Amino acid sequence: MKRLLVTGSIVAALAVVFAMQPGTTRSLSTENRVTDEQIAAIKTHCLALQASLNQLHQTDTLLRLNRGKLYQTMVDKLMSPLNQRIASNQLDGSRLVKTTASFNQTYQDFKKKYSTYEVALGEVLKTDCTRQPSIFYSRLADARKKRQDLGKVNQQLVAGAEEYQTEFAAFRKKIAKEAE
Amino acid sequence: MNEPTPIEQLPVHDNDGITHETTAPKKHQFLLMVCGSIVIAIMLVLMSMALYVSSGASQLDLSRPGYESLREQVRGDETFKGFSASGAIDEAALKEFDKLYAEKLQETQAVDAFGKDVLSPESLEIDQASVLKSAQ
Repeated sequence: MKRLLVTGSIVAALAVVFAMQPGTTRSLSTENRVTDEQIAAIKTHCLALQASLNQLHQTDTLLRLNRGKLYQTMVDKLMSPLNQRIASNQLDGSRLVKTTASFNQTYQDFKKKYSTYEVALGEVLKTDCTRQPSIFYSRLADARKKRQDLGKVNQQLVAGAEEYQTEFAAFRKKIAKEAE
Repeated sequence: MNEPTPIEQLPVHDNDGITHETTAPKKHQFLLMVCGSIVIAIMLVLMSMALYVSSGASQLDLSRPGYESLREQVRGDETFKGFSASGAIDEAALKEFDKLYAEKLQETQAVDAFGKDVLSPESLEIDQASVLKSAQ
């Protein structure tokens, strides 16, 4: 009886450990479940899929570089200098500083999210879709999820930039009112 | 008959008046130095490669093979001077900032970066519906 309990708990522990392993076909969630027809299609169109993903990998790298430069320019050449100028004129620009800090934080998150997505897409590209179509599909779903997360952070960045503009408009209005 | 002294153990006299002995390990010092330098160089290369990968620089490096065509498409912002951090806060300065900021904000809004679901099975035409359609 005691031996049976010990064996049972070992089996249960192993099952839990196995279920937590990412990248295995058995850990596919219901939405990532792949049908036999889809497996056949992946195998047939493997080369075309790899080519499309390679192309996407390249364009996403370029997009990341251009977006990164743009966001960095906004912080370094616009937000920070204005905040500094407001502070040196002994005016209250705390809301603008706060928005800049939040934007910076989101930008760091964007960089992290891109890095995670890039690794995930790299895993998809490394997978042989003719031999491991199920794993390919599973990794593709993972990369897709990470790309969606990245897209959301990018939207947050755009919203952050818009928020700064709103705060700036409010600040400008306040200055104009005080000058009257 | 006296045995000849091995060359390695011949005493060496130089100008300092001290007698030095050239032993086998000393003779191999040069070789050891070369090997040591190679080992150190390999270690430094491995360390820099680890940093290159872990920092994320490798993901954005367009000098990698296959990225030649993309290098020209990277937008340089060197011409954009930005807003000056010094000076008074007056209407002219605020107007200038507003103009510069609106220009950059427009750039951020122009493209929905990473917004399209290009990795969906539907986009890649490997969803159940597309597969069945192409089979017909």
